[in-house]
Amino acid sequence: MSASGVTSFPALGTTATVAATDVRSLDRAERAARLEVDAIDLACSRFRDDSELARLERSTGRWTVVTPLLFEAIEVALGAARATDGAVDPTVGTAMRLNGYDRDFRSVARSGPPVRSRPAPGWRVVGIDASRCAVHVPEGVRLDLGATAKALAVDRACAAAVRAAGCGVLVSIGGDLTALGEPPPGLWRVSIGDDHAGGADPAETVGLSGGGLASSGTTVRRWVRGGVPQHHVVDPRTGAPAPEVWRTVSVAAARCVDANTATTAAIVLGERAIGWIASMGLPARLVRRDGRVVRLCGWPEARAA
Amino acid sequence: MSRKPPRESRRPRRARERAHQRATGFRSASIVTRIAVAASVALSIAFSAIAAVAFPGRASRQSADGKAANASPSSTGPVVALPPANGGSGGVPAPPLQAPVSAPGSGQVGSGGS
Repeated sequence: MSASGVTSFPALGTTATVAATDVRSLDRAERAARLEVDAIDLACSRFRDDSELARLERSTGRWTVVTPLLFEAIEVALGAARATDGAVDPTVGTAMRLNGYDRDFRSVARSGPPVRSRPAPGWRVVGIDASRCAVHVPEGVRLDLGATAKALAVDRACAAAVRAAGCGVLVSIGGDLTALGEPPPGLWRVSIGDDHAGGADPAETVGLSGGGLASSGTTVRRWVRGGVPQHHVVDPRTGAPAPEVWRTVSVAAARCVDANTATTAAIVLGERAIGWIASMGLPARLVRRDGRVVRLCGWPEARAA
Repeated sequence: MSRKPPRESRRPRRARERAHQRATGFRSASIVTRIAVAASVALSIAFSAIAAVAFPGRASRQSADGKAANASPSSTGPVVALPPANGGSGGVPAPPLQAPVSAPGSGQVGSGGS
């Protein structure tokens, strides 16, 4: 068997990583993954004027026929909202902007005047018609698919990469990942930490045979408005950043979309996340603000030093 | 010289002929009806199968006041090659086939806040 290979490229405002169990197939896997990620970016970005989501925003108040890809992304977002009873809600777009997250995070001013949060109108106001591939977003409602679109991109990119490469592939975007196909000997190793880009404790490395794994946190994408710290996980009921009960939440699930839905919901649900995640049997690791760790449903203990 | 059969003997013969015609008619109608029913059932099954594939549990409606109302959007199924048994139903996150296990060393990729 050939050695495995890993490559990375910028994507969706962060870094995408593609790993293949056969290094000879890595190029094919990367090309296929890039196509899927670029397609999701063009369809779902709220920071690009030329995205399909931006065009949809300009046609609110009436039914609009969209591409199957944007329809799928919106449908997945609404499915996540329903599954979490609205804790993960795509109608937080206006709240995000009001809070100051109104452009690619690298360009967001790190400080600014006070903001006034506004509750999200709620995912039920969005209509979808699968027979026409049409969407209805009421006037004044802005969608933010960030909580699910990146994970959808990961799932789609990984499936496409496996088909192209014909070997085991792992695709990660900003630390949210999916692995498909035959895993490498020793499994796919994933370092868990507060920041996907580094600083993970080697004792918290986990092995993954396949499926999705995602992490959400309140320590990385932060800024200040009116002296009040802000982060990117919004509680739809208030429109304000969710109370910081958890610093970082990591969940393993069948798909990256499932895992990312659960991690985002957990940040929003706060203490109630423990019961909610346990009720679904999702292996999870939740880190409190003071660093204490809660492990659920078979998430492995840290390795002894 | 032929004799006309008595009226009494002619009547049963006509009755038999009429009964025969009725029976033939019923049989013909019965065959047509059976064919029609069978065709209807076959078409119903075929259309149901087509509809089930074309519209897998999605719907949308618009309320009387014209506002859009979401009608239980179903989650898309699992993407190709993902474990079908855990594809999730209605968007509910499904657990992985195998939970993560502890692994030595540092990871090939990191997962954390992003």
